[in-house]
Amino acid sequence: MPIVLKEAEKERLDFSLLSEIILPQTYTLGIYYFYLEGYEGSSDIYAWHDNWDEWCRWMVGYKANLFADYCGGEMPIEFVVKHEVPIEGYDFSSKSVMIGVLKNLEGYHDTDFSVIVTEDNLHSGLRAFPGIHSIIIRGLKEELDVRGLEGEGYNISFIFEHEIAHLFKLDHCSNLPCVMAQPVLSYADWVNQGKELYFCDRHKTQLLENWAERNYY
Amino acid sequence: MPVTLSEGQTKKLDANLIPVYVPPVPATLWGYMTDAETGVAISGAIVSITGPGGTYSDPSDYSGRYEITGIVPGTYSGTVIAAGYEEKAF
Repeated sequence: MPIVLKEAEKERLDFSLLSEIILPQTYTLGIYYFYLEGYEGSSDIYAWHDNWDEWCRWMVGYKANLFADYCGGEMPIEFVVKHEVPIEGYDFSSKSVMIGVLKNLEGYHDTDFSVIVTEDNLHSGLRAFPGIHSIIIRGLKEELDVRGLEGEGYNISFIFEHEIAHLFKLDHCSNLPCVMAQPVLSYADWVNQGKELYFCDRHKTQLLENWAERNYY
Repeated sequence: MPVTLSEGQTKKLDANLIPVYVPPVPATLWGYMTDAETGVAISGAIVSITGPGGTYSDPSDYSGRYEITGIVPGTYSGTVIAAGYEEKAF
């Protein structure tokens, strides 16, 4: 029933809300480790290629569990595959090149999302690609450092969550420390306080709705 | 301009007045959001109302309180949305 507000009136209206029954959702992940011969081990930060499968599973799995717990459900990793990228002509700064590579990979269409893990240090590599359900994470080893280990990679600790949230159709945010804020460098203090995964009210509502309704790119 | 009135004179003086717009004193809508089953405050629930003054909205804070000020008086309908709760219309 509509409410009538009179001039200068201060009207109180309380609401009791009923919990919505939300079925847990499962979103499957396929991980592609993009291996570039010659780039491996170029510095301490990127030298974790020897057990790339284990690191990919552990690091992406850790982030995926955080995200899934927040939203209510699971994000199981269906597979991790190594994709050797020809060093000649390699250019991930070109979105079209990346998309072309992705779409031809075996199993690409078998999971809800694809996560591309790279070892190189291209600064253009942090992207979500609406329409092809993929994100790329640069130097995941840097994320490892965030979690109380040594290193200076704390500034990208929310890359996975930020990019996955884009695939749930969330836009950028000016409300720090929302995960969707730019630049993600702003999370340093937040992370150092031991706090993780915060979405502002607007993005939290949008994320949980889209997660529950399987509304994603 | 002043008017001069002479002794015994009857003078007609008409005036056209321009009405001055006095805006209505705005109204305020406030209240609390709680879980219907547990009574626990709900933060981040967004109240939106639409009526003669347009659309207004405000999220509830940590205590579940919201407050929308500066509302043009009139009849409003609205919705309440919160993550994990059924949408409520009024």
